Amino acid sequence: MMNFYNLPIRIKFKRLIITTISSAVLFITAVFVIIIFNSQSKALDERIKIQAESVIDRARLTAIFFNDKEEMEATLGALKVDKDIVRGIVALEDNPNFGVYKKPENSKNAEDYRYESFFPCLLSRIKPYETPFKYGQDSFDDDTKAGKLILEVDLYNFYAELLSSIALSLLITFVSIFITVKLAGRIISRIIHPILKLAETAKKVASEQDYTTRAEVFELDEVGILAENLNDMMSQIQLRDDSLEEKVLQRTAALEKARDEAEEANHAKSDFIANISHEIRTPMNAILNKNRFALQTELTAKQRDYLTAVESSTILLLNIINDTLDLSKIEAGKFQLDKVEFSLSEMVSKLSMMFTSEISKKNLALILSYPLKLEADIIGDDLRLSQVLINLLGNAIKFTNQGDVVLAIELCEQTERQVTLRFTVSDTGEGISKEYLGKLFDSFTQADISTTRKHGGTGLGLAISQRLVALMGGNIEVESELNKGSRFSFSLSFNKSEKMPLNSLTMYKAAIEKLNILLVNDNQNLQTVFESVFSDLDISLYSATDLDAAMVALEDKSKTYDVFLIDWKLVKIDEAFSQKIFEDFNKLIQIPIIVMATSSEHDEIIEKKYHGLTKHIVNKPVKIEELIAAISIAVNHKTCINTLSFNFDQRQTLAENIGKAHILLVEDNVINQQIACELLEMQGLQVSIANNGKEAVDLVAQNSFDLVLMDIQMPDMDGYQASILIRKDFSKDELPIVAMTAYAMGGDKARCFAAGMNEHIAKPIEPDVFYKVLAKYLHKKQYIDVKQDVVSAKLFPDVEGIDFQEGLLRLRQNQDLYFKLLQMFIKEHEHSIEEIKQKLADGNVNVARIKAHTLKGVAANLGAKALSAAADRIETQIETHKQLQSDEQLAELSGEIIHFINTIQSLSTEKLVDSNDENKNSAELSTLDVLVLKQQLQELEKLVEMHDFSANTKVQSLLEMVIETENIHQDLKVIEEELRRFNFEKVSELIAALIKQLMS
Amino acid sequence: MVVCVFISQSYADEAHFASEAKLKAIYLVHISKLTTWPVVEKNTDSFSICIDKTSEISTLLTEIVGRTVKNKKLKLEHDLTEESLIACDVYYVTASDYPIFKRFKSQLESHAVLTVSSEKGFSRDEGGIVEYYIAEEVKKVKMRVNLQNMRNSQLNISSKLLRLMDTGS
Repeated sequence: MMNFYNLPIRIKFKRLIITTISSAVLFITAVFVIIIFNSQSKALDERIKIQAESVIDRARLTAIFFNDKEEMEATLGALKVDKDIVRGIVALEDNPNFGVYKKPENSKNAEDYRYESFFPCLLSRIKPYETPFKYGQDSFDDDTKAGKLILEVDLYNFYAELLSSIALSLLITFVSIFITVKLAGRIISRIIHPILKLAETAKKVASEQDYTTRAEVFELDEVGILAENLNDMMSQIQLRDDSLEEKVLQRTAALEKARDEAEEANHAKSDFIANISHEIRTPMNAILNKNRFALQTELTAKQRDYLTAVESSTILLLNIINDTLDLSKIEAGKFQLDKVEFSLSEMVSKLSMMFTSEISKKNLALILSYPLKLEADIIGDDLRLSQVLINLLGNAIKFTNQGDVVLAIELCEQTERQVTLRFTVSDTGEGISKEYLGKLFDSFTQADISTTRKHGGTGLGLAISQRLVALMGGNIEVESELNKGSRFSFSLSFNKSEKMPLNSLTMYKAAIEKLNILLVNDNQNLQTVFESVFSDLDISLYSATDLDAAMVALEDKSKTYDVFLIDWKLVKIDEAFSQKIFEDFNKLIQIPIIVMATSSEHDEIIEKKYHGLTKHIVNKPVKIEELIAAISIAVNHKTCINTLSFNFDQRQTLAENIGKAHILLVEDNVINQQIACELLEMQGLQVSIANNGKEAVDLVAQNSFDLVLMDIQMPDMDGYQASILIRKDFSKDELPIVAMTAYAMGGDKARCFAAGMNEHIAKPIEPDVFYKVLAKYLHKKQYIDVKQDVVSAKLFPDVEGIDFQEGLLRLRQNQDLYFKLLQMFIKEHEHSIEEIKQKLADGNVNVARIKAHTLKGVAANLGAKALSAAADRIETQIETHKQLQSDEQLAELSGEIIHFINTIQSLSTEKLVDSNDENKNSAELSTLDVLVLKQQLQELEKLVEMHDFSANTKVQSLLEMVIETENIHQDLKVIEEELRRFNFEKVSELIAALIKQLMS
Repeated sequence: MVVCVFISQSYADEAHFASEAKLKAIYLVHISKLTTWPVVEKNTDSFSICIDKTSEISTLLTEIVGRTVKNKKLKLEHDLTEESLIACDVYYVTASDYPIFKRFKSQLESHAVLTVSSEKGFSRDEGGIVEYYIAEEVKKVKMRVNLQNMRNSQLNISSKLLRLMDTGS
């Protein structure tokens, strides 16, 4: 119920007025009505009384005395003047109806009236008035008898009149209320107006805080005085405000001054940090360098000891300084996080590579789990994130002597634009006691001094990591128990890149959906990771914890498996058993086997010649993409074979017609490269790889290809541009270009054709389609399909100007390949001389130069030194003079070519002997390894460019990686050496050369 | 004839008869009450009615001697001399003293004496003012009045009563 007193004044007043006036007027009216009623009643009574007395008066001494009824009635007749008297009865003692008068007109008997109710409230209509009198009849006394005159009065008129009076008075009442209220309203408004205005003003002042406002003073009543007082108050406030403002200004000025001073101090500090960084590193570098130089010289054992100690201390010191500077940078707020698009999976791959040697030394298992459901690259500071993860992983490995170290990245939440990931590094190591858990992230705290001594480290790593994670919006949480291991985790949110990721779930899924995989593994952590990964991929995973169980599973015919995934550890347990199993197994069941092994185990496998197992080896720590790529390749082989086997003739035709064509695969995605490569090599095609359009154009210029498989979306230069450029030199017939597009929309197709491409196929590549397309473009050509048999080194004669050994060496003793290349050389460069001549004549100087250059390179690679030199001379000549001085120069080159070609051809006619595998003293690097190595080298290059000392470490790990490949190993050794000597320029060159070498 | 009727009536019905004389007596008083005399120097102490002693009516009237009539005590005057007659307010003329009436008629008139009689033709012809008669049909005593005689006598019988009287001839 609304509180009356809270209503607005106007309404209160109005209601009050209306209520009081109405009550008063109604009261008055009521009283008035009562008075009217009374007086009317009285008047009526009087009137009737008069009538009665008149009649009595007239009749008593006459009609009544003389008992003259007629006369009585005549007298009574006088009653008719009063219209309301409906009956008159003179009742005498002996005659109750001595005289009766009835009002004329109405036929109604008064009795009838009596029972009529006038009002619903039962007021009777007829009122009898009795007037008694004394009379005398037949007697000297005229007042001895009692009689009465009864007059019955119809009250209708009485009430009617009464009502109309009431009605009228009510009407007047309401009219008067109305008028009064209206009038009152006006007056009230007049009175209230100032109050309302005052309220308005107050509200305005309160809400706008404008103390310059003043209230209007209307009258000099209380309200007016109130308004004046209000104005006074506001003036006071204004005054105070002004003085406050002044004070504020003063204080602000003072604060600003203080702030400026603080900022200056801060600047000084930052500058100091920036400078000191450089100032410290330079002499430190010098110390390190010189120390290393000293170590290169002849030293006594003692001296060597001392200097080695100096080196390690210096490195430690440098690390401490770096960490300290980082930390103070972070704390000074000077630290800026990068915003880079990067692939989480690539980052994880790189990370895992760093720890391979340590892991294997300590015999630990490093397990990586990465969310496949992450649909895009993420935007963040990958360097710093890596730093944190390296720190955590490093610690985990450092403090763990047996068991596993797991890096798990889980997808917590993914929206269209953002993704939240949880990073967890857990280990089965020493653990951390409760007391130290609290101090863990403080600077320079390690569990205790002995730990530092035992494990080394600056003690700043966790402090920096925590702060870096905080900067990225997260917080490192630790769970640990002594001797039970530790767990460091943090969650971060990233924005998603709009680029299509390299490793999208869909692409994987397409490759290997709905497979049944039998996993043989005894590491629970690995099991868990695989289970989640494979469920994301819609693959059914069956597990066995050892080989026996696996065998049982395999023998169960009710289930068919598509892939057999086995941890090498379990094979090693019983080698003889394993070997037999695998031999039988392979023959019987034909399921591809994928082995997970460390790099050193990898050697073993190859050495021990486990047939069928050398094909698909995935290095530990297992990277998901690699595993999936391996599965895909393993399965697709089978698929290819299966599909192709349906059309045996077609396959035959394909093989026959395609032969050994040289394909240029232009593709930036490592996995796609792998897949396509396998598909191509499987059919005996030769594949060269370019990572982007630019490389493709260069390669096409330098080599001779039969077909180009061109990816479209690539960095630096995309497929369209590359195609256009290639088409400048090679027509559609000369060099078919087949586009591989992930988006097969109409517009793309048109663009392909516009750019000069012959065809396009959709990615992911379907082997069937792929082969058909290849067949289409390659079947016209004739290739030299020479059976490649291994040629023993002795079969290469000594020929002047040709160093076969060098050539072989370059190819890591791969005689097959060497031979192939020699054959190719003939085909490619048979007519080089003419071509160079032609181009020069046409004025295509550059092309001519390139041709000479290419010739030089190829010849050199193959060991044709003399030929190479001649080509070099020609090249220089063309370069400087833009033309040839004379035909003689060309003649020399021509002679060399012919000589070389003849030598090659003579080789082919000689009997070729099957060599044993023993001649192969090094394994050919799988395509997979080559690509990975290449990436690593590129990264190394970057580090070297930045003069980053971790380049050293990288080289070490690379050396380990390629330990079985002597050539590369040697190259890397050289690089390492140069790096030690800080000949960065040379190192860069060497790396570039090595990369180039790998790609050819 | 009237007398006869009276007699026959009285013998037939004692009550009735008694009433008839009584009625007349009553009426006499009643009429007096309703008449106004002019202001004369009559005997203002009493209201006198001249009437033959022997009359029935007189006997009946004696019952109420002393009562107040017109604010005076009622007195009966049986001496029917001229002197006393003109001093009366009312003179009831019986049959026996009818001649007296006739002799003093004019004196009576000039002295505002209300003359009442039951003798037939009293008011019509003889100069009397009120004449009692019996209405046979209703068996009632009725009165006849001679308005002229009344006015001549300077008397005024109330119109109320006059209404009940037969004023015609």
